[in-house]
Amino acid sequence: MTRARLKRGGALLLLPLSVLPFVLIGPAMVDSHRQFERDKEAHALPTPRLAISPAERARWKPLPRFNGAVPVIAYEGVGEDGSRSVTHLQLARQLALLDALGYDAISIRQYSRWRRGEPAGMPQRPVLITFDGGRLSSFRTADRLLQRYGFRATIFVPTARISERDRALLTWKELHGMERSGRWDVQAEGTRGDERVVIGPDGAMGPAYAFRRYTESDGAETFAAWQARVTREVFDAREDLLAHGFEPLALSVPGGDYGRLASNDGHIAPQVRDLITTQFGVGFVRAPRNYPAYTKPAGDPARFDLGRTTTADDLYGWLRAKDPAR
Amino acid sequence: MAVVSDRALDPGSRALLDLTLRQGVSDEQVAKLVGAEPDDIADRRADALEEVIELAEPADGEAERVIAVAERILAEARAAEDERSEAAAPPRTTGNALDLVLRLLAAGYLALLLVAVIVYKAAFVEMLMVDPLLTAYGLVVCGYIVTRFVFSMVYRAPRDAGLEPRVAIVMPAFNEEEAIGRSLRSLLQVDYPHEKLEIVAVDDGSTDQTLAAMRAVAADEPRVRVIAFGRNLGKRAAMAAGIRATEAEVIAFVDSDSVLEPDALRKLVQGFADPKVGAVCGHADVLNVGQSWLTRMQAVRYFVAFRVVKAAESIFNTVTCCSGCFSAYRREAILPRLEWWENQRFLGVQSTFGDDRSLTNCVLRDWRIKYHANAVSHTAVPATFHQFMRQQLRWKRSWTRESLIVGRFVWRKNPLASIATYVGVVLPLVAPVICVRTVVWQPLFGGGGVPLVYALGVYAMALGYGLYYAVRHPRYDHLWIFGVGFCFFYLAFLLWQTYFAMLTVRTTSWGTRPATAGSHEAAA
Repeated sequence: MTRARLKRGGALLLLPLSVLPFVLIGPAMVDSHRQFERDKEAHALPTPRLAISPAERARWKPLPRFNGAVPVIAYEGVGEDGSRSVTHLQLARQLALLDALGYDAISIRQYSRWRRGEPAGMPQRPVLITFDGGRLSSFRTADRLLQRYGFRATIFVPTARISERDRALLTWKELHGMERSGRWDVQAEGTRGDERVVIGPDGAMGPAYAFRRYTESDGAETFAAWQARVTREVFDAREDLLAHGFEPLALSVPGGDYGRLASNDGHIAPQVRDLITTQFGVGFVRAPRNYPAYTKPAGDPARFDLGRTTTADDLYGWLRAKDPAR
Repeated sequence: MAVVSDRALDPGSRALLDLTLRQGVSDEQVAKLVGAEPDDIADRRADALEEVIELAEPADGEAERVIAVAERILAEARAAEDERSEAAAPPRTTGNALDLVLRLLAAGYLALLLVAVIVYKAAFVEMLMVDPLLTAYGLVVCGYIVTRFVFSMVYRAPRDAGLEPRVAIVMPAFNEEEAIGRSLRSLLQVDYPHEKLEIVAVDDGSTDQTLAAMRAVAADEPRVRVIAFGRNLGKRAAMAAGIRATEAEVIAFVDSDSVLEPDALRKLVQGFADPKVGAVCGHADVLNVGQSWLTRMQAVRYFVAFRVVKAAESIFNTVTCCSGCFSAYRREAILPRLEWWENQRFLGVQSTFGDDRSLTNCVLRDWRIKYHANAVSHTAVPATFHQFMRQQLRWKRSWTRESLIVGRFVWRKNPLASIATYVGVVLPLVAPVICVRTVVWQPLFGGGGVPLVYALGVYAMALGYGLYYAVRHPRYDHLWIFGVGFCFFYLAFLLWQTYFAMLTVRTTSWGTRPATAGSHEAAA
């Protein structure tokens, strides 16, 4: 082959070769565009128009003042699909209810101090409002409402997934901005959130902290392996918060249970309770049938989960029914 | 002849050597016979000769003789080629069917690239709210480049109006004894009526044999007039003296390191068919393309700068720089400002370089200026990094000075043309800031990642220029990739010269040439 032909062949190859940078950088550009689209839509949404009717006001009679117990409510998601997510309007109505009843939303620091028996400056009618999952949608829908009613909320974030820049979740930068606004506190929901693990050969699933994990190759993990996994998980969640400048005060236990309600090893629950207490102080759990009592300084604090079917009247009913002053 | 009887060669090569070396058949004839390009024939002959040299056994006495003959033929062929390329414009390249297919492929690729860039910019237009500086810069750059391409597609070279005005080619020279004779002779070879063409060679006080070389040419050719300065007065003075020495209606300037294609002058003057046109800029290709990687990059750069940028300017009759390589002026357009131009001063010092851009500005105020893509000259460009950087610095200094001047009156021209001119002035000033911010500041201190978007944007721009060369050049070859390389070379080395050029704008040294009158004055 002559040199001319070689040159010709080389020149011909240049065309497809010149596409390479686009092929190599293209995916990053697409990702960058998706991130841009996500960031563009990351601002807080305006509050929906709503008015509390005279009939509602008549139904929602004032409740007794603080009497040594604090109600804690939890939102899994807002404005998303699924039964565990409330709509934007539902959230607005529920917060309007709390405002109408004279509740003041307390910070996680106040709550933590109160749990430890330290002076916390509790208002007349305290409530702790929490959001799980670290979702962007929770911030977008709730922020203006919190501002409107002068409330504050605590958002629990899966720390590892936040670091992985899951586009559905908030970023560390956004979380800092939220905390600076004075309307939000940031705490951990483990490192991976509401993660469940396989607990038996039939494929049954359970909360990650509450069960020894089952794998087909090794069967159920040993207690030592479970201990290493969960300890590392709790330590990592704490370290992640500290590394990003947040004080670890509370943990939303992934799956809402650390083995208290169900487990495949009786040693698990006391181990996790100690672990959470030493690393975070407070570990929020889910109550059986989702009808918990108000939280007190002692015992596991259980939250009232609000979902798609929960109305403002349901929330009022729970607040009224579980109020220890009544 | 031993070379062609070497049995180790393949029959094709043997036949080729036999035909071209022994029987004296020209490459063109062989090419026609076998349906190939003359260049391919020459390449193949060179390959065959090298093969002869490699195949021969050193111990063999006959082989040594073969090698000696082959090496002599190779050396003679190369010397002849060098001589030909220096004395005259290189032959016009032509393409075959494969070239056409590849060029069409490149055209499709270029169109796709432009559409993709526009779509991308449109998709990110809301980034203006997030990062106004970078986004606005990106949009302006994109708009500028895309409009240059679009306008250049609309561009049509001036038609042949049958004009044959009296033309004087002014060629100033200072200490160019080696090139001046060849340059003058090449001018005499242009296809233009003898009685309507004169060549004014001005010796600017050379201390070598330049004047003698000029007189040697003039002795054989009455169309050549020689003006000799007793001392070095500077290039502008030499050019002005040449202008004053002639009564020709059109005055053309050709750099002493440029050669013209035979029909270049005839084509160039057709631009003056419009009585409002005061100057016409010819096209310049690179003469010494194959000399180094730098000249290859400049080949693409020149091609795009003329075929895209000047063509785009030309559709509004506002070419902002008639290249010194080859341009022509209407006499009445330059005479009113000739003295000012000759003695131009800037910030208290005499302007010694940027004569072409300055003269263009003198004419552009009141006249139209066009570009003729088919009036082609070939110019030798710097082949080493040092020479090139000095030349670019000089150009940037004159660009700084003349941008301030053109900015004062270009707003009276077509709005699209004036906006493009102002944008063309602002972008090089902003570009270094954007580069530092994007490549250094943001990744290190601003929380930004690797500047992939910026890198890909530069690559897309570079690829656009390279592909344009591939599309418009008759023969598809690898040279276009050097255009891509040039954009990154510009980013790495030339971008930063702008500020330095502005700070040293009063400097009058040419850098790439021996000191001339202006620089002596400045030094004094």
